[in-house]
Amino acid sequence: MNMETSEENRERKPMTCAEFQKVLPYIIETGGNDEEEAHLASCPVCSDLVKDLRYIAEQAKLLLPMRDPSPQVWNNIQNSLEREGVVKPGRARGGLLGSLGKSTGHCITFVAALALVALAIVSA
Amino acid sequence: MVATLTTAKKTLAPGITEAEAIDRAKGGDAECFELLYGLHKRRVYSLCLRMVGNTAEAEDLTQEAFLQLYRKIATFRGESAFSTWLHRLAVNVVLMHLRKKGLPEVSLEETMEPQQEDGPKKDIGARDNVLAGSIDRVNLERAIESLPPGYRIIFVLHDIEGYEHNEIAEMMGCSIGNSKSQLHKARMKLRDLLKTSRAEKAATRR
Repeated sequence: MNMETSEENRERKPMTCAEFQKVLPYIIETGGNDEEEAHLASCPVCSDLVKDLRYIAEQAKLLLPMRDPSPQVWNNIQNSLEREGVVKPGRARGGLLGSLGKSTGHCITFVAALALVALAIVSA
Repeated sequence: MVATLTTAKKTLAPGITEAEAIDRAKGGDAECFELLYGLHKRRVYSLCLRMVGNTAEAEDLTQEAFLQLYRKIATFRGESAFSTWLHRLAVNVVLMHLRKKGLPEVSLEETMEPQQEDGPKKDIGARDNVLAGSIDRVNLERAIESLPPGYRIIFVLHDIEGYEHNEIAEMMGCSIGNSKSQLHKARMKLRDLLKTSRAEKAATRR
């Protein structure tokens, strides 16, 4: 038997489950060649396997974020930022509603400065 | 990866969009940073928790991810959605943590010498009911949690977070083929776990 004949024989042999499942990781998303598709169409075991794997992937895509981290995480973030000096102590503490916005802060500073000037004038 | 949030239009608080919050946070506005934290904490924490499978570790990693966000937000150029950029940053924080711990994200052993119980050949010749319609969210979450770390990380990144194999390969420093192979083994393992869980449930009902 020469090499050409043995290759032809190999090509004619139907694909086995082991052969199909060996290449499955690489073809499950893109689809296989004619031989692999033919095996899938004729083999209930491999067909069930592919259905299950696709079903698991589909269900995983539907999973939502589970839950929030504990409030301690935000406290630790604030403490770290304060320690690093990138946020002034108390700047963001208490949340947005509990702290003053930039514009409100500037406004109060301006009013306080005016009051001091007025007080100085009255005192004089 | 598919962007899930529209940065420009998302309104965080009355009168402020996510895009505005990002701009202000870039300028050091701590309140806007807190708004961004409020918007993204759940997804970042869930990503960390699913990747490491431990709540204390996941909280530490969430904290580290947001600290890095604060330090790096000025480098966000808007080339991708903010959520995509942030999640990539969080994934890198987790992977760095696992490297420091000495846990291989993709185990070479798992890759080179697949265990028989994880390999596909186990199914040859055996036919069972398909899983379709029988998985609930809680069972799937539990099964994912019990995957070996190498499998779990690839599964979370690909099937839950929506990263492509080329992105995973780049992040994890492995080949695309390796990523595909690990994902396949992860799904096979999940299939086993889910079938076992289904069989146990059926047995207790009898």
